[in-house]
Amino acid sequence: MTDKTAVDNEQTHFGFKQVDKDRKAAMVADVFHSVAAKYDVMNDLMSMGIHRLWKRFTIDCSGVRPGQTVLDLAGGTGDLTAKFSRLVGEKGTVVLADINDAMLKVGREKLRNLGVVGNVQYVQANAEELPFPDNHFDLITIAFGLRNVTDKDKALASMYRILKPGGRLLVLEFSKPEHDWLNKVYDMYSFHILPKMGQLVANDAESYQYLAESIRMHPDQETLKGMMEAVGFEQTSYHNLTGGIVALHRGFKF
Amino acid sequence: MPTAQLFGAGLEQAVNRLLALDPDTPQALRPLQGKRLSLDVRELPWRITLAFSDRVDVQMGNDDSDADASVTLSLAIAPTLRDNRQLTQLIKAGELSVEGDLQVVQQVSQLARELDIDWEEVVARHTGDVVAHTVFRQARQVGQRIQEGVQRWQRTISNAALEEKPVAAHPLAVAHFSDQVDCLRSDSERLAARLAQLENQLNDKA
Ligand SMILES: C[S@@+](CC[C@H](N)C(=O)[O-])C[C@H]1O[C@@H](n2cnc3c(N)ncnc32)[C@H](O)[C@@H]1O
Repeated sequence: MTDKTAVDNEQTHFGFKQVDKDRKAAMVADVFHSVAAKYDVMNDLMSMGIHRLWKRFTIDCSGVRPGQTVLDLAGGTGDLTAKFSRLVGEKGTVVLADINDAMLKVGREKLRNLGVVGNVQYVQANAEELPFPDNHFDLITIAFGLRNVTDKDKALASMYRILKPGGRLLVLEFSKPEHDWLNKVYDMYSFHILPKMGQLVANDAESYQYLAESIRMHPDQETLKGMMEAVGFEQTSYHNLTGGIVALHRGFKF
Repeated sequence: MPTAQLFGAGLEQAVNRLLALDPDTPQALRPLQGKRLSLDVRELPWRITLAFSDRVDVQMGNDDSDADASVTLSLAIAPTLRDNRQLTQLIKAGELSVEGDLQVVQQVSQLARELDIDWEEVVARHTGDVVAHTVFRQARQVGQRIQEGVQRWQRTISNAALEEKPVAAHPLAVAHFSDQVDCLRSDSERLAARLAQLENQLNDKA
């Protein structure tokens, strides 16, 4: 099932629930407000640390250079930003943008403690209406963020607009496992174990139930690739990671 | 599991931990700020790129990287890279190929060479000063004896070779050498016993 078939004009899904479109952003905000403080710990726990390797893979595919301008969209607690900040160096800039100021705050504090200062800007922004000029960024990454966005086509178009010609977009997101057996194991994990872990560690089963559901509702590899092409991205491709549990999509603007 | 990234993460951790042990690292890294060096190691399936800032970031398989310098080598000669004088020889011998800014390669080689780690202090952080000091003093003594032994042996061998022409060691030299090995063995056994004793003392205290 893809987003397009599931959504009519006024309603969208929040996990498996149908909610009014204009309420989804607020509900997503609630989820991340309530998980912000424990976010990093949960990430490590939920993915058994593998999310770090998925993120490394994203950076390895970024082709980022000293002096470039990078947007880490839905950047949350800034894992990617920390590394980009060193890779673009003093003459480059990294913008950490997120819709949620609680996540931004945790991110800012974490990065400051890591000694990352100087070339990083923090911007509260909605991916659907990015407050940046046209043709501005060499690279945009959005890691585990797109599935939370209400209107994904609008968000992708907005990213396309602010990307420089020659620039690239990388979307790291949960996707569809390549094998049936993996799908079953993964379902069992995300609907039974994950919410319990969320309850134990963050005392918040509901948010993690939402995460599991939102992962299932997210477009699969080919659908997302098609969505990127529809807004203008070229040379689009994707690479499955960990059996397709996660996929990295890449597209260029020329 | 992204294997290349797992390897890269491990390498990056190891390199930065090692660098963090030398207080002069920030200064040594300064001339390399913003530079990138890519390594094609013959035995590994991926290109490794080192990006220098106030630490070292490792990127894997980054084939469209425009690094400042790129080096192709095999693992066997990696340890010799610390010696700048050998760089040119290795390049001439075709063991090592360098493209781009040779200075970057030399600076990295220098960084490795000048890495000055006070291992005694590192160990002391975990065991306490007294134990670290004792262990290192003994280890140094043993090390010295080994070196002396090896030097003496080298002298004997070269004398023997000069005097007797055939390269085989003179029976006397061999006997002498075995004596020294015995002596060394008992030294190291004594050290092992001493260590065990220290460990017991430590356990008793704890
Ligand atoms: C799962 S976190 C990912 C954080 C980080 N990129 C990482 O990989 O660790 C998702 C983030 O997306 C943000 N987000 C959700 N909807 C958004 C939107 N419409 N625009 C921008 N950010 C959004 C959330 O606030 C949250 O911080």
